[in-house]
Formats: sequence, structure tokens, C-alpha cells
Amino acid sequence: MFFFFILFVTFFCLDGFSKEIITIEIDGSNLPDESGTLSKGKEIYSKSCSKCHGYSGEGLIAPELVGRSSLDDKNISKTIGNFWPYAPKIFDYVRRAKRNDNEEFFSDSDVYSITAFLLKLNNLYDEEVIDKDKLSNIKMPNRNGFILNHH
Amino acid sequence: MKNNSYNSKRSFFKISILSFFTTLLWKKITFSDYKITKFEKETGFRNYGFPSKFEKIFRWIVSNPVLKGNGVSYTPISKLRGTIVPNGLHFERHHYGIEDLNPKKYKLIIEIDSLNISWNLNQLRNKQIFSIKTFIECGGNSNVMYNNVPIQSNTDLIHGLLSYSEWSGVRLKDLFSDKKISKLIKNYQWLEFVSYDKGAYNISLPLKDILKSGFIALYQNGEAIRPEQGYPARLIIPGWEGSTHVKWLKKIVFRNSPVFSRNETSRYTDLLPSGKALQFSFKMKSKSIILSPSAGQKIKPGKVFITGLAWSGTSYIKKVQVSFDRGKKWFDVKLDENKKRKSFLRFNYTYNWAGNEIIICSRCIDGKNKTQPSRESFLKKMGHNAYYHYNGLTYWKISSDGKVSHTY
Repeated sequence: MFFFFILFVTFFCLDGFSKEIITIEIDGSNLPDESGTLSKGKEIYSKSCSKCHGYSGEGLIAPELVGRSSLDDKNISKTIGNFWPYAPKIFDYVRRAKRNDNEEFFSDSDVYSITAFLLKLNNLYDEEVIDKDKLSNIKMPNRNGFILNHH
Repeated sequence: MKNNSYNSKRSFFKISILSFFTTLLWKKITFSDYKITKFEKETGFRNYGFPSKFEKIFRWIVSNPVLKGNGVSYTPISKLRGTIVPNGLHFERHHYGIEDLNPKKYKLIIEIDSLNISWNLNQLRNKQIFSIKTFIECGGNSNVMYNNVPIQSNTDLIHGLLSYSEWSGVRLKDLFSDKKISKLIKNYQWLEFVSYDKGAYNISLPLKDILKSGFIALYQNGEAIRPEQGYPARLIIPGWEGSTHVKWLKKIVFRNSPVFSRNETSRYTDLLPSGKALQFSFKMKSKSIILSPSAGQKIKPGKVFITGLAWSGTSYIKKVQVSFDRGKKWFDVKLDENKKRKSFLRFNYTYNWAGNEIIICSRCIDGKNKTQPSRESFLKKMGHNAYYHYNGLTYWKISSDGKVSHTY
């Protein structure tokens, strides 16, 4: 039985086909019904993200994530706080692209927690718990900062 | 926040330095290191040929040292001639590593309304195959040209996120002529393309525009596309920026609006001096560069054979000009193929160099009569924070000792 289980895992997991990731819409549709917390987010961030993004999201070998400087400054840094237009898409990106120390996807609850902490670092969220409704209702400062340019 | 921008620059240099050493190690490898089979030894033939062991030509890898598979490899464009880039030297930009998908299990899925239609690889390969020679250029190619100081690396590391191939595959319009799809297509304006890669890379593209020329490539220069190019199937939209050419293509979802993914908001948008960012700048603008002589090379006085590339994602190349005094006076280059409306071409020009210090550059004029802008006029419009889609001029200084360096 165990042999068949191993065979099953090998067959379905080691052929290069990634797990299904559903796109989160800008209004928060498709966000899971779970929730996360700021304190858990801080813990995960320090352990798994700060090595590359810096302890306070200031950027090291990976891009800076935190900052609210004006986008017409000469030497700007594009961050979540001053550039990302939609809060639910932070969840979308963290979930699809980031892994924990064991190279596994974070759970949806952990992704909520990381998202809350990233928003907190940018002074855009300050509650302990975050869920679908709360995340969908955050209006990002640069929501209207894009000019559509497709020809 | 200024500290942050310095940090990001510092991190770029860290990565560059690490990768430079990695590249040096790679440079020690020769093609003779590949194992030859017993059969090949006995017959004196090779089932798949390699370049001569005396040739050392490789992509330049600049990778993220802590995130395996994230980074770029630059095509050694200054060392190639002609236009076609060999498959093994095509540039790469990977966000989440390289997949090597099992073709027997591969499926391309179309989601439209509540319908879920899929084709396996054999079904795709048995459809009508369309071929086109076209270039792919990363939206971030030449982005060091935004720096305040001209970077002193070789030309490949400045402009090498550019490659030209013959791609063959199934046109989107043929794929969507499927009865079930064609009935519903008029209800939609956007398509989301999703990859099988580890981050399920996704990007949205306007349906009407990509129906004209978009196709799903299965072959590159005649052979099945390679894992690093998206085996077994990738999207190609001639002239559009590299990030739209989704590799390891998994799914096409019909939509009424863009998905506004990270790679179409936070990345690949051009932040202008006004503080607003241009979004969905899909088509790569007309551009040219001199590849030889260029940074890192050395020339001798006398006849100098100048060669370079010119290309356009918005039109075709009508004219190429070269200058030897940083753009004060321009000389027309005779284009062998100017009767055919080429969107990618190689140009050549012979110059008698007297041994004095000069600054050389090229510019192109496209079919819409748009002239490639000088670096100054490009930056005046786009500012220093746009980061992507640089199509201004590149200037090479030839010192009196014959050394070629990058200058502004």
C-alpha cells in the first residue's frame, strides 16, 4: 500500500506540473475564506523573508517592499506602499511566488498574515486580524497612478 | 527613502559581482566536455552537433544568489553575426526557474464561459503550423542606460536581452476558430495567459490585438523549443515585450478585464517624471545599436568594419544611420534588404579610423518615420525612474589607443 502511495506521489508531484493557483481579482474575489494575523505575519516575515528583503522591508538582495515616498521624486523606490495599486494582489503574488524555508508554498492563512504585516510596515493596516473583507477594503495610495498605454 | 534606492542599487551590484565570477567559471568549460556516446565514437558522427571545441561562446548568467532559477542570461550578441541566434544562446529571463514538462502529460487548457477545452501536445502539433522569424526583447533590456553613470561592462551585459529566431506553431486565431470558442469570443476583450512554472506566472493581454499575430510556438529554429524557452509550448506575439511571451503555457482564460498581476503593475510599467506610470506598453519601440566595435573591444587605425542590429516592434526599419561625432553628423547605411520591410536586420558600414578619439553611435528611422531618440531626449520624456523600454541611443567612445568604452 505504502509502495503505491509513493508511486502515486512520484507520478503526480515530480513531473514538473505545478499546483493549481487561482488568480485573485482586484476586488478581492477568489480570496480564500480563512484569515491571518499581524503577529504571525511578523514571525513568518522575520524567519523567511527578511534575509532577502531586509528586516523592515528596506530591501537587500531582493527588492525593497516598504516606503511611501512620492513617486515624482528623483531617486524613488517603488514599493508596496507607494506603487502597488490593489491590496488583494499582494496576497495573489505572495501566494504564487513565495515559499517557506522548506521550499513549500505558504498556507492561505500564512499568506494572509504575511500580507497584513507587509501592509502594516507600509502604515496601511493596523488591525491584528485580516481576512477577505478587510483586505478587499484597503484602498492603496497609488490606485489611480497608472495610465493605460496599450496601442 | 533614498537609502532604499541605494540599497537596491547595492544589491544589483552584489548580484552582478557574484554572477560575474560564476560566469568566469563557466567560461572555462569547452564544448568538448560533453560526453560522446560509444556509437558516436565508433561511427565518427555526432547525433547532435556542438560548436568547435576551440570556440568559447556562452550566455552571461546574472542570477539571484539566494533564489535558484531567478535571474537572466544574456545573449552574447556582440560576438554573433547574421541575425538568427542559436537556440542554446537565446537570452533567458526566469522569474520562477525552468520547467522541463513531460510532453505526454502536457495539456493546454482554454477557459471560456463555463467551458473548459483542452488540447494535448500531439493535437497541437497536428494542427496547421505557422512560422515567422521574429525577435524577443525583454522589456528591461538596456535598462542600465537609465543610470547616471555609463556602466563599463561589455555590450552583451547592456543589450543582450534580445534574440532573433524562427518560431513555428499554432496561430491563436486558428485555435480559437474551434466552434465552441468562436461562438463566445465576441463577449470578451482580454485573455489571461498562465504558465506551468512554479509561480504560475500570469499576464493579461488584449484579445483583439494579439489575435492578429499571436501564436503558440512549439518549435524554435526547426526543433522543439527547449525547456528554458518554455518547452513544450510558449506564447509568441511578434514585436511585443518579452514578459508577454509566456513560457510553459498552461492556460488561456477569456476575461473582460486585465488581471493586474504583479508583472503588469509593479513590474514592466514605466514610471514617468509626473509620478504616473504607463501600463501595458506592450510593443517594443524601434531601436538600433552598434555591436562592433563596442564596449570592451579594441581596434586599430585604418579600415574598421562596423556592424550592428536594428529592430522594431511597432513598425519596420526604413533607414539606419551611423555617426562618428556623437550624433552631430549622420551617414546613411546601405541596407541590403531594404526592399523587404524588415522588423529586425543587421547593418554593416565601413569606416576609416584615423586614430583620433571619436564617439560612435547608430540610430534607426522606422516605417512610421519615427527616429530613434538620443539618450537625452529619451530621458527628458521618460525620466530616470521608468526602468523599462529604453530605446534611446548608445554611444561608444573610441580612445586614441583603440580601446572602446561606454559613454554618454
